[in-house]
Amino acid sequence: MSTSLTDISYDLANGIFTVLNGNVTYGGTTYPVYKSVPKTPAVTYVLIGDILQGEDGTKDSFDYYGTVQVIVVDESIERAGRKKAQGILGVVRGLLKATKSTVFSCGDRTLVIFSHESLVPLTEMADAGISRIRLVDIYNFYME
Amino acid sequence: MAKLNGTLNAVISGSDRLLHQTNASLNVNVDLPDASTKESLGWLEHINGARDWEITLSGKYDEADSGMTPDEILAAIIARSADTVIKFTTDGATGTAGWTGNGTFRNFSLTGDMEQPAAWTASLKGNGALAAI
Repeated sequence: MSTSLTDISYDLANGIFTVLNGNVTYGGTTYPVYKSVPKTPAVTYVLIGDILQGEDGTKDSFDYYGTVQVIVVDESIERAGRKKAQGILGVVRGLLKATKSTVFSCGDRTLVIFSHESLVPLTEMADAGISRIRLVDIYNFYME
Repeated sequence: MAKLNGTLNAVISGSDRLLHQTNASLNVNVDLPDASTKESLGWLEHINGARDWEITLSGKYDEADSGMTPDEILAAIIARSADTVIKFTTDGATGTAGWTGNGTFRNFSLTGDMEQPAAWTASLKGNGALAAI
C-alpha cells in the first residue's frame, strides 16, 4: 500500500525482468531480455516496453493500474516468418503467468493483478531486406 | 465556501474509520403521510412524518490496516453487534464536521470479479436521531 503517490514503473519493469532474464529459452537458445534497448542489441530479444499507468486507490491509499508491453523483437530472418518470435512469445507468457492466479514479485510492491489483454503483431522491412518482427504483448496490471 | 473533495469524507464507527472505501453516501428521508381533505381543493397535502437515515458504502477489499476493515463489518453483522456511534464526516478522520447518530450495520456484500480488485459494499441503518456534529 502506497502512503504517497509515486511511480511504480521501475518496480513493475524490474519484476518482469527478474522473471524473464536468463529464462527465455526457445529451440535450445536463450534470448536476452532488455528493459531498454542497448546500442547494439541482439538480433532477437525480448523488450519490456512502455508502461501506461493511472492511480485507482481508495480514500486511504494509492493503488495503480495500467498496461505494460512485453515485446518480442526478431530481426534474424529475411522473410516475415513469425514462428520463432511466436515461440519465444509463448515462453514469455508461460513465465509471466505460470497459472491463472499467480503473480510475480515486484520488490516491495504487491502485484495484485497481472493479466493478458491483447497482442499487436507488427512486421516491417529493415535494411538489406531483413524483416523486423515485433510481437507486442499487452498486459493489464493492478499494483499496490 | 469551496467545493468538497469526496476523499475528505469518512465514515467512523465508534473511534474506528471504515477503511478501504471508495464511496460513501448518507441518505436521509422523511415520511410524508397524506393529509388531504375535502378542503384541499383537489391538491394533495401532507404532514411531516417519521424520519430515517442510512449510510451506504463501497470500496476495494483488503483485510489489513488499522481501523475498521471490511472483515470487521461482516463480523459485526454476524455477531449482531449493538449500535455504535456513527459519524459521517466532511473532514476525514478528524470527525469535527458532518453528522452523527447511532447506527447498526445491516448489509455486507463481497464481490470477486475475475482479474479485477475484489470489491465490497455495505450499509448501515440509523437507530434514532441524526444530528449535525
